[in-house]
Order: sequence, then structure tokens, then C-alpha cells
Amino acid sequence: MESLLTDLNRQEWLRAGAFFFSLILMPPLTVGIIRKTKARFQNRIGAPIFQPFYDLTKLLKKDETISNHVSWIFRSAPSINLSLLFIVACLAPWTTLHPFGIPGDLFLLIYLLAFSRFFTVLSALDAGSAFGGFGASREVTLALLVEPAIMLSLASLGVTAGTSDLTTVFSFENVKLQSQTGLWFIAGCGLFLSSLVELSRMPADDPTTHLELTMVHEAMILENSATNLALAELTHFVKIVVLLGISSQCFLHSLPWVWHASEITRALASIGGVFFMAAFIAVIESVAVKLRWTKLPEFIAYSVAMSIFCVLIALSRGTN
Amino acid sequence: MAGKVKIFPFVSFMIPYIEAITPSSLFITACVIWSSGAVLTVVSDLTKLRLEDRWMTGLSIAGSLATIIGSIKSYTQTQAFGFSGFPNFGLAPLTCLTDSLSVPFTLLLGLVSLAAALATPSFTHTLATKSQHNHFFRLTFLMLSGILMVLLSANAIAFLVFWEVMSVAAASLITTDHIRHRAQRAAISYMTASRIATALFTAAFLWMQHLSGSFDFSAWHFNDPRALPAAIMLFLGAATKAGLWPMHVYLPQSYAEAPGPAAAILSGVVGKTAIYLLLRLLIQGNCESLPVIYLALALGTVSCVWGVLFALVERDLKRLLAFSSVENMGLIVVALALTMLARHHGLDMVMAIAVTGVLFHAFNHGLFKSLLMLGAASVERATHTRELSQLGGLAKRMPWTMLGFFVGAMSICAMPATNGFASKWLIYQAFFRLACDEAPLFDRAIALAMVGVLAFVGALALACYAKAIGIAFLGRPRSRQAQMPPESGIDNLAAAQILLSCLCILLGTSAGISLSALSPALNLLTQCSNDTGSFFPLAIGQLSLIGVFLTSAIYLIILGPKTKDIRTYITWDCGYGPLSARAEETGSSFSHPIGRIFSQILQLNVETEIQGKDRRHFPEAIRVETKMSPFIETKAYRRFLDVVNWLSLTLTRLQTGSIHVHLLYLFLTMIVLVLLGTTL
Repeated sequence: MESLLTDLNRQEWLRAGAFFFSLILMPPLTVGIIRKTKARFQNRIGAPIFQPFYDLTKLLKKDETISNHVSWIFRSAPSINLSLLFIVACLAPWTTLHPFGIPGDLFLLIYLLAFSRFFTVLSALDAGSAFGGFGASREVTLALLVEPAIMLSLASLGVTAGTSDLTTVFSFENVKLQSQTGLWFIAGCGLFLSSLVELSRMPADDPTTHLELTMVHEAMILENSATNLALAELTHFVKIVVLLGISSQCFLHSLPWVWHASEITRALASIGGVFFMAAFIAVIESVAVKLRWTKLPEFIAYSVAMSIFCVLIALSRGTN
Repeated sequence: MAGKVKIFPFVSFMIPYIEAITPSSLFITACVIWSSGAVLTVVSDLTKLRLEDRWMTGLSIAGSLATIIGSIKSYTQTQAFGFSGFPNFGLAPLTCLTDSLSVPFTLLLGLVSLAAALATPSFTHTLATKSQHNHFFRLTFLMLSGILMVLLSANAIAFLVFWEVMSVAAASLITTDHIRHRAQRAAISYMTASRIATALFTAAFLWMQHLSGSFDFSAWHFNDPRALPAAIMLFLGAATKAGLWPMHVYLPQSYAEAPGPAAAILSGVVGKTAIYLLLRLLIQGNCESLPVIYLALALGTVSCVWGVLFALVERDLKRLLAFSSVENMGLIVVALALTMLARHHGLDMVMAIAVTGVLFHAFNHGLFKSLLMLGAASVERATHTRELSQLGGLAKRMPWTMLGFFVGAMSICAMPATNGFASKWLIYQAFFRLACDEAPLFDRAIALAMVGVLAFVGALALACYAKAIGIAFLGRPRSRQAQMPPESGIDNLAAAQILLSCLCILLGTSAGISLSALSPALNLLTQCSNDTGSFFPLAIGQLSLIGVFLTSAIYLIILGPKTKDIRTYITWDCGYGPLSARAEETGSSFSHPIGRIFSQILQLNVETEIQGKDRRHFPEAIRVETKMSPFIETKAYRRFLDVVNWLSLTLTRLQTGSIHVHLLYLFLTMIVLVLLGTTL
């Protein structure tokens, strides 16, 4: 009995260790993969996959320059945002390596993300620069359109499972969800499209452009430099991994073989899933162009439509 | 030590008396203290007595404390009390009741009035004359005693009397600055709305009296199909008072014109009395008729979206807060409707969660909205303007106001670890549970759609308050008014805000524990014996501890060592030389992208005119004009008012001014009444 207990504990600790290891390693690596893939598409060799690590460490060593108009918001926002995103990562089901079975409530997660957005927007407005203002204004507009889609996609999964705790929903244990291949797939598509917008990726925003006037996320962190910028970037990387992870989990749940696979296979599949999504984003960004700002609501309408399909599927379950 | 010994027998002598104090005596004390304050002001008007602000504030605080202690006392004991003799309103005596439902509301009244009382000196010292002082204090005291008695009234007649005291006092309070045209208009529209609410209530009360034969609230049951018209009228009256769409038009005017401390009470407590009445009658009276439910759902949902949309494009800080009240009232009413719907389908769990959400959100909204109103009052006092386009950079000059406003904004945006999150989570959870439960497909679809609507409204609220803080407090000053000297430490107004912000954070981080306190109210309303604390299982306290720990660790380890090497420099200007504050984002430009998307609802028009030879690249003059005409005011109410004006003009012909003709009218009316009486 005792050996079983320690065994369980060991397994639990192993899993937590793997989780935190991947939480620290994966965010910069994912961004590295996106950049590398994009470079290969453009016939360049590109920077090494580990370049984001080097960039972050370089930024951490530098001395900071801040605007003389800023208040405490600007200085504290990056550390608050990073810790918020770490908490989100620990609660959200973005890999199957969910440590210690912490329950991750759907509404809590959405509002934690909103919390970090609140701080990002405020710190963008803090310096009083026109670019920061533009970025902030666009960010809240996009969030407003995307938030219902994310909420409804996840809520319809929750309604099918009968709980708002996403850890249970994404645990490969709920029999009701096992047969819902279509629901999982559509939810995954909806979440992926929403993530593109939420993460300021291509059809919504070009992260590599240097024209501040058209940017969303980059415009918001324009005033950040050195350590402050490193933290803001890292926060964004973690957000990329978490959101891509959630949509890739949806896709994995729609594959029947994953339900019967062993835990290690699932873990590997979920990590591979994130990297695959990253590569997929890179492909999209290589073949698609950034949409005009006024066309974006039409693009977001696709993800809203997906979420409405999810809602319809969830409502039409056969129990009554 | 010696002192302690001396005092001890005295204290022990007092203990039985303290224990014997009943909630009723405390509430009566509060009421007497406040009313005596009102009487004092009258005396002061008539004599040479000059009332110091300090005394009046002290009286106000004493009344608030009595209310708070009374609420805590009545948490454990339900007490009915009344006066059969003197205050008899003809149809019914003055009977009162304190029970677990009135506790959250009286407690809210006590806390908000305490904060408002603390903030009062900061407002009254701007008043020049003695009579203005007296006017302000008299009406504040009358309004406070009115609210307290409204919350305690056990029968309809007493309720209506105090309801009128409250409404009239509130309306007159709005005209404290009665020279201003806007204040006059605001008071008139406030009075109109109160009149409509009172008329609807009176009709509903008479109907219910007819059905049940009693004016006592406890004798009324709304599960009777014949009570449907009364329930609808009651709901519409409460919706008018709470400021639901489309009766919300008076809210922004009146809240914006009311003096700071009064605005805090108006937005924090007065609107909640309508919610209290709905809970007392419709929920406690077992109303489950579908027309009322769907009406409440529809009006509540539209109010949510409408209120927050207009709050977002608003340029006046206080009007923004008022519109956001419309949104929150909508949210509360939606949850109330859900309670009735769940009762209709017999889903006890959903009903219990929803009604807990209603109670908690009403309480929380009272706290954080009065906090925000006090913040806006503080901004107005320092800069003499509420226009967002004139503000900016206040965070450095008014750090305490900024902190209070920031906490209030976080709570109202339902950021985790604040009380707003806990109550909004309950409302989300209730809708989510209904969607999971064994309810008809139509209702499940509505519930799931509401989850989406709430997410949408939440994102809009975030945008709205990011704008309020970002434009008013951050960035650079946009006008000379905003460049005032820095705030000098914590004054009364700041202390009031700190009190309320501490309450918001405390209730939020200990949501599970503080929610348990609502169990008796839940039991009274729905006969569910659940522990309300168990509805909120999230470990929000632990999570916020982890968050604080992580944040400070990151700050201290990574950012801290670098602090001494920071170089400050101008904001990035693309190398064109120092930017003027005009290059900053303004309130209207911040909300413009969203305004464009909803331009049909907002009636937003932007005209751009560029002059010059090569107009695209070298403009000589650019003129941009943004026009927004509130749809309801211009289209619906204007038409209605035109009809009323036309009718009254036409009907003046009847009014000849001759006494004989008027006697004839009297005679004719009598005949008609007699005819009606004999035929019916």
C-alpha cells in the first residue's frame, strides 16, 4: 500500500516536474519554431530555434529606459502579467501534464486572461504615446469580438461534460465527450481562429512589421525596454503556448486513438500538438496577408460562427 | 491597569443592556439620528444657529454606525416591530420587519452612507452659503432615513410613504447646485422617473391588496395567475427606479449632476431598493409566471449591452459611471429572472446560485459603484471638470484617488480576487448550470446564449474602464486644469475610498467565507438550506496569495536590481521632437473602433473634411466632427413628449378658469362614477 502511494506520488511529482519544465522551455521554443518555419518559407536559413532564449537573456542584461510620464502601472504591469500568465498556465488544460489536478474553472481562466489584458492596455496608455493608445484601443476592440467566441466554444464543451471545470472536461475521462468528435473539432477550429486574433498573429496583426501605426500588440509594448520588455515578451510567449495548447488539445480530443493511448503518449502528443500548431501558424503567415482593420470583424465572425455551431451541438445532445 | 479595573465593573454592568439592544432599537436610533439632523438644519435655517460641518458629519456617521450594528444584530434575529398608535397612515399602521433579506441591504446602506459621510466635508466646503449647507445636509439625512425605512417597511403603505420621502429627497438633492440648467433638467427627469415608478407600484399594491385583502407584504403570493398584472407593474416600476433600458435615460443626467457624496448614495443604494423590492415580493412571493420572467430577461439583457455600450462612448466621467450602472442593474435583473425561471422548472440548485448571485452582486455593486463615484467626485474637485478630454496624467498627482478608482474599476470589470468577480462568477455559473440541467431546450439555449452575452458585456466593460482609467489617470495632462498641484496625503475623501476599496478586496479574496453569510437570506427566499459559501468553490484567496507572491518575486528578483540604472526619457516621438498632449489618444478616439462597429445602435456619425491643394498629403486644415444622438432619447421619448405636449395644449381648452364650468365637470364626473358604480 505504502509503495503504491509513493509510486502515485512519484508519478504525480514527475508529471509536475515535466509540466514546469515544459512551461519554462516551450514558450520561447514555440516562437523559435514559428520564426524558423517562416524563414524557411522565405528561403532564408533563419535564426536558430533557440534565438528567443538568447534575445530574452540579452534583454534581461540591458539597462532600462522609461518615459518620464509613466506611473506605477507601467513598472508593475509586466511582472503582474507574467505571474498572471503563469497562474493561467497552471490552471488551463493546455497539456495533459496538468500538475496536482488543480481545478481550472472556465470563467476564472477567461477572467484571468482579461485581467492581464487590463494591465497590458493600461500600461500601453501610461506613457501617453499615440502608438500605445492605438494599440490599446485595438486590443480591447478585438478582445470584445473574440471573447464571446472563446467563452462559447469552451462553455459548450463544459455543458456537454456537465461541469465548468476545464480540468475535468479535458481529462480524457468523460464518456459523454468521447463520442463528440465533431464538437471537439469545431471547438478546436473556433479556438484556433480566436487565438490568432487574441495573440495578434497574422490575419489580425503582423507581429514582424515595423510600422507602429498598424500594429496591435507590438504597439502596446512600444515603450517597454530591456527587462521590462523581456518580461512582456515572455508573457506573450506563455500566452501563445497556452492558447495554442488549448486548441490543440481540442483537436487531440477529436482523435479517437488519443483516448486509448497511454499517458506518456498523450503528453508527448500534446507537446507535439503545440509545436504543430506553431508551425501551422507560420504556414498561414507565409501564405496569407494581414487583413485591413475594417475587415477584421468579418474574419472574427468565422470563429464566432464556429462557437455557435458548438453551442448548437451541445444543446442538441440526446438526453432530453 | 488601574483604569481597567475601574472601567470593568461599569462595562460588565453595561453588557446585559448591550445584549438586550434589539436591531429594531438600533434602526430606530439611526433613523432618529438622521431625522434629528434634518430637523436641526431647519432650526438653523430659522435661527442664527450655524451648523458646523463636523457636527453634521458626526451625526451622519453615528447614524451609519447604528445601521451597520443593527444589520449585524438582525443577522441572528428576525424582528417585527411597529407602531399602532401615532405613525398610522390611515390604510395601514407603520409596521416594520428586519429579517435576513433586509440585512445585506441595510448593511450596504450603512457602509455606503458611512463612506459618503466621511467624504461629505470635501464637498460641503465648496458650498458658499449657510442655506446651501443646510439644504444639502437636510436632504441627505432625509434620503438616508427614507432608504432605511423603505428597507424596513413591512407593508405597502409604509413602503410607499418612505419611498416618496426617499425619491423627493433624492430629486431635490440633485438640485443642490440649482442654478445650473443641467441640474434642473436632471432633477425634473429624476422626479418623472420616480413618479412613474410610484404610480406603477401603487397600482400593483392596490391590485395585490384586492387579491389578498391585506397591505402586508408577507400576505402576498405571486404564484397566483391573477397576480400577473401586479407582478408586471411591479417589475416595470422597479425597472424604472433601477434604470433599466428603456427607462434608463434619467440615470446619467441625475447621477452626473448630483453632488459627489450624494451620487455615491444614489448609485450605490437607491437603485438597489428596487432590487430589494423585487426580491421581497417576486422572489419571496414565489413568482414564477413566464411573462414576467421573459420580460425581465429581455429588458435586463438589453440594459446590459446598451448600458455598457453607451458607457464606453461617453465623454463625461460621471455619466460613464451612470451608464455602467445601467449595465450592472441589467445584470442583476437578468440573474433575478433566472431565479424565477429556475423556480418555474423546479431546478433548486440553479435557483439558489442565481439568487445568491443577485444578492451578492447587488451588495458588491453598491460598494464599488459608490467607490467609483467618490473617485469621480475627487477628480472633479481637483480639476473642476469631468470631461475625459480635459483630464490625463492624474495618477501621479492624485495617487490615492487613482488607487481607489483602480480597485473600483477592477471590481466592476470582475477581475479575479475582487468581489465583482465572485458575484459575476455566480451569475455565470447559474446560467451555465441551467444549460446543463434538465430544462426545456429553449431555456437552455437562452442560458447558453446569455453566457456569451455576459462574456461580450464583460469585454465591453473592460474596454470602458480601461478607457476611464487610461484617459483620466494615465498619460499626460490634456489641459491646464489637469495640471493641478499634487494631492496632499490622505484626506477625508481618500479615506472613504480606501475604506470601500479595502472592503472590495476583502470580500473578493474571502469570497467563499463572506458568501456563507448569505445563507439565511437564501433560506428565507427559496427555502434552500444550502451553505451559500459552497456555491463558490474556487480557491480565490490562495490563488491571489500565489499571485501576489509570484508578482513580488518577479519584481524583486528581475526588475528590482535594475531600478537604480533606469534612465528616464521622453515618450517615443519618432524623432520629431517632443510630442504635445494633443498627440495622445483621447477618450473618443479610444472607443472609436468599437463605436464604428456599433454605429447603428449608437447613431454615431463621423464627418471628416480636409482642405488644401493636394488634400491627401499636404492638408491645410482638417475638421473632424463626431456626432452621436442617443437613439432612445431622440427617437422614442421625443415623439412621446411631443404627443404629451400636444395633448396638454389641446386639453387647456377645457380649463376655462370659470368656477361654474369646473363645478359642471365635477357634477359630470360624479354622475359617471355613480353610473359606473351601479353597473359594475
